[in-house]
Amino acid sequence: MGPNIGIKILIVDDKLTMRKVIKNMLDELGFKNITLANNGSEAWTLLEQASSGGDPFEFIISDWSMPEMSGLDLLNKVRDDDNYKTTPFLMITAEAEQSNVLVAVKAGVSNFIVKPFTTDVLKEKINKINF
Amino acid sequence: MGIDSKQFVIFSKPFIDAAKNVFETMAFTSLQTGKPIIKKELDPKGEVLSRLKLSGVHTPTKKEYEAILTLSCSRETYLNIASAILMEEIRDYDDDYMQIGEELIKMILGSAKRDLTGLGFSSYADENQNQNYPYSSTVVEVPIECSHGKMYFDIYYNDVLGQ
Repeated sequence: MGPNIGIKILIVDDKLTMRKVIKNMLDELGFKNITLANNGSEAWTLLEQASSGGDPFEFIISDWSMPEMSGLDLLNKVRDDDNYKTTPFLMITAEAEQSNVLVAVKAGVSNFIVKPFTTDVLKEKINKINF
Repeated sequence: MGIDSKQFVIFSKPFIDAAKNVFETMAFTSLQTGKPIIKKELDPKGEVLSRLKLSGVHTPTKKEYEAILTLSCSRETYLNIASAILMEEIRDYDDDYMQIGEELIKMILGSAKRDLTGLGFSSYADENQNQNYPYSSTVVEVPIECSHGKMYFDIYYNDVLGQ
């Protein structure tokens, strides 16, 4: 069984098109509470603001490959923060490289998805995460 | 300059297969590939293009190689593809939508990498879109048709030491 459709989700991708594609997919899956961040720094600011306001994000979907703060950098920051230590984190990558997966798993990623992917694959990946 | 056609076919097939997968998944369309031709004019036929350069080693032959992949299409086809991917009608071409082509070719490379590795090709990408073909290159054009229009996949492959 998947998470509640009202769960507070943050999508992080430096490419507008991918943010839109992922948001469209989540819309299609019925999720209602979605925020978009266009890089890791903006994501971190939003995450901090949400937790200090007492309403932290409950699920983070982030691209791996972003300038300045990569998805892995963001994951490390998130896992170092008491408010987001266990928040589900889905990492998106264009390259199915074993080394990426292992590093991300070590850093505490919840699941991994390789581009390109369908809405069904995204749903399957989300449903495998423990919320 | 001649072209090792067997090696070219081995190298290019993962990209064609990956392009079919990427467009089917992201743009909801099946690609029909036409007969590859050796290009006389190296310029891409389409006015909108995405390009990346690859280099690496073909381990079985121990030869270093370089390759340039170019995906091009008309502005109209590009907007049709962008509209399908974003599930909204896109009428104007701007920098944000330019990213779609770059993302698609990166996804094609990502998908092809798995097969390339299996075939013994290591691959390192240079995403600079302004790559030029080396002097007197042989470039093969694979014409592509889909429900969004026509596209052209130009593939340059060469052994670096064979030049």
